[in-house]
Amino acid sequence: MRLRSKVNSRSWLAPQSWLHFPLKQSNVLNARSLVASIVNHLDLGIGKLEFQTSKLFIQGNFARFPDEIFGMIFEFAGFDDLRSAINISRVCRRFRNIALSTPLLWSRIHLRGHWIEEAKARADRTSSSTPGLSLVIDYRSGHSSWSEYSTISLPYLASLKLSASSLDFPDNGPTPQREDAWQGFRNWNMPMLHTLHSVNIFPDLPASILSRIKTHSLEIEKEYDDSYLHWTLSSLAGYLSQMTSIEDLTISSLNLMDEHFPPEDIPKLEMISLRHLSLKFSDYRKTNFKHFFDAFESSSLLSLSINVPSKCIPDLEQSSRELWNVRRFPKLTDVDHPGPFLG
Amino acid sequence: MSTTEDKTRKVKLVTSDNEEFEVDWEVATRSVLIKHMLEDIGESEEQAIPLPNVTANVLKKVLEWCEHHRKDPEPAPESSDDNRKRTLEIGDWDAKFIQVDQEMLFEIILAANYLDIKALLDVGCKTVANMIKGKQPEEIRKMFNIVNDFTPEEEAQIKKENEWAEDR
Repeated sequence: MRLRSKVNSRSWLAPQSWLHFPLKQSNVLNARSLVASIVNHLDLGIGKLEFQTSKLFIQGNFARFPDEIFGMIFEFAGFDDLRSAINISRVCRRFRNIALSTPLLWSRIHLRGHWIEEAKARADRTSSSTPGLSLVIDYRSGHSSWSEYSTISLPYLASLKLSASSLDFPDNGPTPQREDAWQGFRNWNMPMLHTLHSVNIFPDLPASILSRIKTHSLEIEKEYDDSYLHWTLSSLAGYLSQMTSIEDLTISSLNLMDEHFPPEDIPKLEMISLRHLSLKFSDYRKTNFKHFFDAFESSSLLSLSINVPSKCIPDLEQSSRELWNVRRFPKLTDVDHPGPFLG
Repeated sequence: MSTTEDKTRKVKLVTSDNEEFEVDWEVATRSVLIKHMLEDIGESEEQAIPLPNVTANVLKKVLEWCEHHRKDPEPAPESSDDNRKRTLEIGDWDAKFIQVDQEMLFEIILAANYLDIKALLDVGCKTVANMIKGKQPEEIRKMFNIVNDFTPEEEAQIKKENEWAEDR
């Protein structure tokens, strides 16, 4: 209303009013600044009105919006983003109730040390309708504080990541040796577990669990301290041989130094269920590269992806006919590697 | 399964403010609700479909989306719902389409929900999700003009509950 009276008070600006004024340059300049000021006032007024109506609208819509739509919005905003999920649950009672009854928001849990019980309580929000709980464990706080958590039941756990990364160890204090590392998860009840991701560790899980794993990803970090995984072709093959249902295997980054390939150590591993194999090598030695592939056979393998340092590409091209041929991988049709597929 | 005859057929829709829209069958049946209603009324071409929960200006916008997506494949079954949640990405055309004021955005979401147009509902929900993702509770309250109805004790309790995740 105030805006309107302001406009009226300047009604002399209407075109016919100009007829009564002698046309001087100073008047034109004054008029220009007055018009600019009026436009400015109008813009401000319109902005305020828009804000008020929008505010009223949003208030109205907040009540009109069904919980199920907010639930969908929260799933998009908070999937795989625990921080956003928690923030949403702290907005108001209604948002909290909706968020807490949306299992997907709580389906990725990162466990550390003494917060395990609290994290597990959040994990319990994922009821049986959840597509799968994912759990990440590292040894940041050392193995000693984990000892009391050896009998946890995680009935909906679908994906487990166990990390023994050197970066996760505290800067001061003793670094747990590999043989001392906490293995309490051995006894956890995880009947739905099918995806295992491990960093610098061959998780010592019971054969009954390993035999059900469908997807395994093993990360071996650069060997610069004690947290590095000390593997040989034999220990790797021995571990993988327990995964009798594995379909998808990713290993990175394999170092082909001689220490991993003792002369007497050329095992044979037949992975009959394996369909997709992805390998990343951090270096290249032709003999050990050949040993590595000599160890594997898979009658069901459909796709193979190999990532090698560029310096070895010419050599790899020569080796490909010999290494991944029809006899060894009869169903292989999709090969992604630097050289030509000569199957 | 649609027939050739269906594709040339026209459908009349009547909005809550009594405006009538005549659209191609293929466009109208992006809405599962309208599709089912058409199946119920059979061959009766003259019968208009009433949409008491949608106003003309919103339906116009929704039909613009349906027109653009008329050739899209049928939506995937419910079982693949989980995959829909994994990305907040919106296609270029959809992103431009949804650049509307908040009032229209919320109306489109409500209409897509009522008309059962899953892909459009996803576009709307993803847009709001992008607005709230990474925001602090107070920022979200401001955005939706929500009053914080927790007591100080409840707030302290909730904060304590989430301490385990604070330093993630």
